[in-house]
Amino acid sequence: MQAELAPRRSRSSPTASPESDPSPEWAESPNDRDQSGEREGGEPSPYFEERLTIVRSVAAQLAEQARTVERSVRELRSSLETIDQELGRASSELGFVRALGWDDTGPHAGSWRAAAGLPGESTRPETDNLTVTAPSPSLAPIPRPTGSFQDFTVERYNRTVGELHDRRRAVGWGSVVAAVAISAVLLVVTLQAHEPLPPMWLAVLPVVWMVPVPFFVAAFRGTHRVLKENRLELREET
Amino acid sequence: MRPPTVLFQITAIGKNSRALDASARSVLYWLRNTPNLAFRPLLWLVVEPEGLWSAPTVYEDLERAGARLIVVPGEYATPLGTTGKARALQYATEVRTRSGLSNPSVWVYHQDEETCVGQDTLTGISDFIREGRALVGTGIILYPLDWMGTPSHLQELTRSFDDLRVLDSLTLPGNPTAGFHGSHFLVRADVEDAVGWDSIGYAPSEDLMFEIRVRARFGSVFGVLKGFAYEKGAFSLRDQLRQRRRWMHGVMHAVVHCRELPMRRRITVAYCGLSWASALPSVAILVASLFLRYGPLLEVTSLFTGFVWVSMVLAYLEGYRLHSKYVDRSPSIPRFVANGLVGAFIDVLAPWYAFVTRPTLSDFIPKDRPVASDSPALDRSGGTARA
Repeated sequence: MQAELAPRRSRSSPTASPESDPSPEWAESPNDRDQSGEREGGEPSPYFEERLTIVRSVAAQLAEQARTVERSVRELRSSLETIDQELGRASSELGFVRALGWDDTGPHAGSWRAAAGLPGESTRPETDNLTVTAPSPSLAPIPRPTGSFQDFTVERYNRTVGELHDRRRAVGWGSVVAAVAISAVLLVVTLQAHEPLPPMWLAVLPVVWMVPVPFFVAAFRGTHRVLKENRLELREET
Repeated sequence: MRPPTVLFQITAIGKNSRALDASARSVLYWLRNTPNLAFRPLLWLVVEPEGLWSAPTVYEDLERAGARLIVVPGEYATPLGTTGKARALQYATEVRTRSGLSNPSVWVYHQDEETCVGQDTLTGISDFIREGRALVGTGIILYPLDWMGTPSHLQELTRSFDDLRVLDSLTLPGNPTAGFHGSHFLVRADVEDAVGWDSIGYAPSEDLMFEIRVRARFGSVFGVLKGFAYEKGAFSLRDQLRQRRRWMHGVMHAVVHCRELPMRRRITVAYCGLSWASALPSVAILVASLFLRYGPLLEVTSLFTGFVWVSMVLAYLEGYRLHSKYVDRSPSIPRFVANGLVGAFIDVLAPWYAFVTRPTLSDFIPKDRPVASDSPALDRSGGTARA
């Protein structure tokens, strides 16, 4: 709007050039002025600049108000989208709850604290002399805290356990092959060392070494049993 | 039909207030943003008075956001006089019973102060309840929060992969390789309250005792809880060592003191402890064999050496792959190997450290990242996982 006013100001200016600013027939020409610069028709309105200032000011206010309205409309649109989204979710939740056959019409419906028959106030020991405001039992929108737990989604979880499940065979067979290879190399190295037989009392040492072997075998078997049955993936809903 | 209720219960001293805040907010956030959950939620924070005093404003804010704060009174004592976390857990069962929440339609999801949940955790809980096949469920825990790739953090990778073994063992009759968690497990409230957490004196691994008791009373009622929980590893090797010491004392305590433990199970639990303790002598034998030349005796063991080594390396690799979508720092291979070896050495050392020292109630494992190294973005996040 200020841009719109700019050329008008230029046209209204007494110093504007005739080439760039063709004037209407009734407008005064430079010849209308006498030598002392006085006009025959009198001085321009003394209120002209004041009016222009008012117009500029009002225009600026209008521009600001337009921006405010634009912002409000944007916020309104966002709020409407939130309402739409939440209504959709609420409707979905309602359908879900009805499908479960829950009685949601009881006197406690609507209060998650009261739902379980809880008193509204906090339980505090008498020894506790701190004064803390009574709780407001609400799960209403809470500000999104900064941090990481917001990223712990079902989608990310399913990708993680899905990939783990997909490489189950490779991990299992790869482990067996690697274990056999390492053991074979160690056995060959040990046999080829041709070391003298140590004192018999040292025979207890391999027993100590082998104590955890059954645990590792059980762990390997159990891990692959869980992965094979793939009991870990979750339904995904948005 | 009354809808089930899930009580998200964070039980802790409460001094790691930032970690606890992030855990509670992860629950609130995902309750708000997960569609079609087949339960109604409750969030309880069960803390000790000193935890509350350490950061009252954090707890005030959480109460305003919908959590219920339960402070275990200083003078509270259980009938058998247990101490530590078991005491707080027992107090919570009593509050639940008084509140009418000890019934089959209420489930309790147990969290430590640094146990963040995700959308997958809540969906997994919902599915578990709907399926209704088991009374207790547990799942896999990842450790991506505040991940730095340090030796103690790398060591946690193996725990995540080992959870697959835990899930298998837990769902078998007798739990042959003694697997359970102290967090990220869901239990029906009436089952938990019937069994309780009370025991004589300090129980270093109250979770193992609980699993033993549930199995003794209700049989094989354990199932797989889909969805990860997200925690953080110890910040230092000292903390890692002290944490493992407590576990080892827990195993020994269960073997010696747990009356509900059948003989066969007692043997398997003892074997698991022995298996862990044998790691240090095994390493010593391996090193000594290079100098003392008793190679011929290792001919038999070499048949199994490959399998043991591959199993250990696999736990690091697959553990890392499980975490790879959640952590933003990938250590170089040499650093990975070096840190892995250091972390493994601490775990090898831990059982023997446990044999010569004792855990105390004053053992406090910090889970709040040191403030000096905090960035503003981490203030309430509890993590640096990949965005």
